[in-house]
Amino acid sequence: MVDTIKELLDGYNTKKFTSKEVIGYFHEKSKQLQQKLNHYITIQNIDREIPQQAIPIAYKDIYSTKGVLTTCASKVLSNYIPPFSATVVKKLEQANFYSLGKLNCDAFAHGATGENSDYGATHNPYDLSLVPGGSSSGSAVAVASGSVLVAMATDTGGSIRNPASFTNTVGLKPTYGRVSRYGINAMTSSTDSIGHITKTVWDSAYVLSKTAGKDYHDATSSTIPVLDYTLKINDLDLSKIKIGLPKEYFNENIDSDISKKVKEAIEILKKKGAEIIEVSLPNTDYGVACYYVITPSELSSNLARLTGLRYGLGRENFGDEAVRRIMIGTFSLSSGYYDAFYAKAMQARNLIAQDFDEVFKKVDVLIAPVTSLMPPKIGEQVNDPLKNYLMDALTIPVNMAGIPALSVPAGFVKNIPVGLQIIGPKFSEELLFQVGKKIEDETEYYKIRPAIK
Amino acid sequence: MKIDIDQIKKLEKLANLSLTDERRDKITHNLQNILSYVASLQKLDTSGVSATFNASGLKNIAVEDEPVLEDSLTSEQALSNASEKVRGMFKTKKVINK
Repeated sequence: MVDTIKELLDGYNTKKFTSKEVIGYFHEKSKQLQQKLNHYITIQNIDREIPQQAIPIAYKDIYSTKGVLTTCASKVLSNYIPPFSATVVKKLEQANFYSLGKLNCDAFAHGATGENSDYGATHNPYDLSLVPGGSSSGSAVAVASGSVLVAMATDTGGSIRNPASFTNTVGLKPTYGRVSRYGINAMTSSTDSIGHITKTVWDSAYVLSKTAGKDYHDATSSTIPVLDYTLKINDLDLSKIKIGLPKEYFNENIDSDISKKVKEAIEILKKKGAEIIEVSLPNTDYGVACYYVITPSELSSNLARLTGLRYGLGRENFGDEAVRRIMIGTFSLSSGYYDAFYAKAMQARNLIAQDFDEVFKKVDVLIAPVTSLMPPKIGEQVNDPLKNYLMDALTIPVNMAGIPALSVPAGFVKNIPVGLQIIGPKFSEELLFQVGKKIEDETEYYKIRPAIK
Repeated sequence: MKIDIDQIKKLEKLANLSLTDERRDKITHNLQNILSYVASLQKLDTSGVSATFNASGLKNIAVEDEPVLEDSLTSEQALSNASEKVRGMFKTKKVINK
């Protein structure tokens, strides 16, 4: 059976298999792997009509899917069945993507390891004792394990790039506003980015072409034209490209094995003609503090709607991380503390965004590691919320600025995947795919399947 | 950063949360660590920097004041997940005291 959407579409065109056979295969695989991986919260049955050329997909359980249990991986919504679907879900359905189910994640997308789910942690298919990253843990694992060919996810502080880098998959965090947020549980309304995880860069480009676009229901969605992002994916002339390496992302805090793999990938681009320039993003170190004021503030407001009145259960069912964040947010916005915390964090945010504006005057894209450490063991960090927060240090600044980033496989360290991120100015997704494709063509890391033991 | 039990109880009230004593102790400890960490933002020189941020770059997005019928929910759909319904309405706690 196929490993990528591209192979699938080719197979349909040459009549290698029927869509019924394909969906049946991935459905079976999803069920078989569920016990070891715990990547799904709901596996849907497949008696719904299967369109021709159907592509197997699954959705992070914060996506509203009409008639299908949507829990946000929280006990609070353990019985919630949305009466409507997210805009992106409807768009993908129209483009023949067939849902196999709803994927596990950190509850309300609060986390970087998948361990904050009220439905149990998801396991990394490359080593079941390790975390797969988060918050889109189930999404990354569903793709890495071959249970689906694409998984929808969200990235608010790194929640797509982080698990993609830990599972040898491609994770796209689009520009803020590129893809409609309507119908997807809002965490941080000013940074939530609707993206997806695939095996390959071409697949990622294909899916973005289907999900992107202005939505009447999302006032923050952009009218910038949506491209066919696969059209020019192989056309980049690297000799015309300047790649920046932000020095703050390569300092002594980064695991040296990770830096090494990332630099190897950069060498590939250098050999193909790209100019590599060292740059600086001076306010990088304030990112985590900035984020962990703004995010809790916004989510404390967004989660206020969960009272158990119109839907869901009462607020006593919130997990510890949700409670922590709601409290921090309420504190930061309360009188007497607003100026010192929330207003200050917003100023810090402006400085972080300005750092990127400055740097993109000199270079076309940035390349950097996604995380400063290798995936920890499940259970290792779960009692240290602050340590969890620091895992997002290299991904958060991108969300603060609202710019896009693509995480692609950068190899393995002792058989555990490592990723790198390609960061660009707003609406530069086409370029990110082109750069990522050059790395992927040379390394083909996506061919290395997980052992799942 | 020190945050005392009265402050926590006040936050609970503001946040419509009511924690058990055990949970409150655990969360208070976590909060002290986290707030101490984020307070490090005080070191940053932000003079002259705006305290608002336009994430989308958009301005004054408006739509026609007309319902989009195909996306509207029926009364049944809207009530479908309610814990308590009465005569086609959500049942809520009393908000006006006499």
